[in-house]
Amino acid sequence: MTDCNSHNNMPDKKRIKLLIDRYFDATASLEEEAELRHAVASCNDAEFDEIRAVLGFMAVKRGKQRKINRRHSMLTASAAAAAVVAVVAFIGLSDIGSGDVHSPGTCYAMVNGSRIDDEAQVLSLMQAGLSDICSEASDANGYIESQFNELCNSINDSKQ
Amino acid sequence: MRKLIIISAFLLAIAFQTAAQRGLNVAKIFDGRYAKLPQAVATYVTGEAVEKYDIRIYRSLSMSCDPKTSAEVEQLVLKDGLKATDKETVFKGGHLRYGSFILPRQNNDNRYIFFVNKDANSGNSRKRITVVYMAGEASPDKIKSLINCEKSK
Repeated sequence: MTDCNSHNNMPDKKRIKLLIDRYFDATASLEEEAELRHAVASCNDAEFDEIRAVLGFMAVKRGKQRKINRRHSMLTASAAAAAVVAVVAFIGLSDIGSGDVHSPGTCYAMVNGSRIDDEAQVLSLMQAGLSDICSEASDANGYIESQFNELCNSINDSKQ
Repeated sequence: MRKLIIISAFLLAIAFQTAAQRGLNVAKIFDGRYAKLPQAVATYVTGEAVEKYDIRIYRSLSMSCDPKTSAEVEQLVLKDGLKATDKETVFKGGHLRYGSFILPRQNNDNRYIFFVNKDANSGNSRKRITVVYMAGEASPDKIKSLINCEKSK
C-alpha cells in the first residue's frame, strides 16, 4: 500500500474525501463507489481507516448475501425440479384402471388375438369369467365349512 | 447442499411411494404378453355395462396355459394379495386354486382381485386359469351377489 498522494495514478485526498462524502450521502454512483474502494484499498493513510473498515464490512456482507442468494436459488430450483419429477412420476406411472378415466364406456374383448366390440358377446364372456369365480368360491366356502366341522368334532371328541 | 439433497430425495420418495400404490402387479397380466397368448380371452369393460353394479372397471383374463405361465400369473396375483386387507385363498398341490382379495381403497374405489386355477393340483399339462379385477364403489357384499347372480343366469 502507498501514500495517497505519492503515486501519479492514485486519486488524491481531496478526491477521496469527496467520494467518501458522496458515499455516505448515498449519492455516489457505482463507478464512484468502485473508485473509492480502489482508492482506499491502495492507500494506507490512517485518515481513511474508518471508510476502509466500512467498505470492507460491506464487501463481506455483499459477498455473503450473494452466496445466500445463490444457495437459495439453487435450493428453489432443485425443489422445483424434484416437485416436477414427483408430479411426472405420479401421473406417468399409471395403475391398472387409470386409462379409462379418459375413455368412459369401453367394452371390448380380445379372443385369440382378435378384438370383439359387440357388447353382448363381451358381457357373455364377462359372465363366463364370473361363473368360474363363483363355482370356486362356493367350493372354497365348502372347504372352510368342512374344516370347521372337523375342528368342532375334534374338540367334542377330546371333551368326551 | 446437504439440505438440498435431502429435500429432493424426500420428494422423490413420496412420488415413488405414491406411484407404487397406484400400480398393481396384475396389470402386467392384463396389459402384458399373457393377454396375447393363444386361447387367451381378455375382457375390458367400463361404463354403463358395469356401472349398474357400482363397478367402474372390470377386467378379466381366462386362458389355458402351460404350468410355467400359470405359476407366473399366480405369483403376480399373490404379490398383490400381500397388500390385501381381506382375502380367501385355497391352495392345492402347492398352488393357488382359488384366491379372493380385497385391496386397500384407492381414489374412492374398492378393488378386488379373483383368481382361479381349475387345474391347480391336477397332472394336466395345461392349466385353466381365470383372473378378474374389479374396481368401483361396490361393497364386498355387492360383489359377492354379482358373482352369484351371474352364475345363476
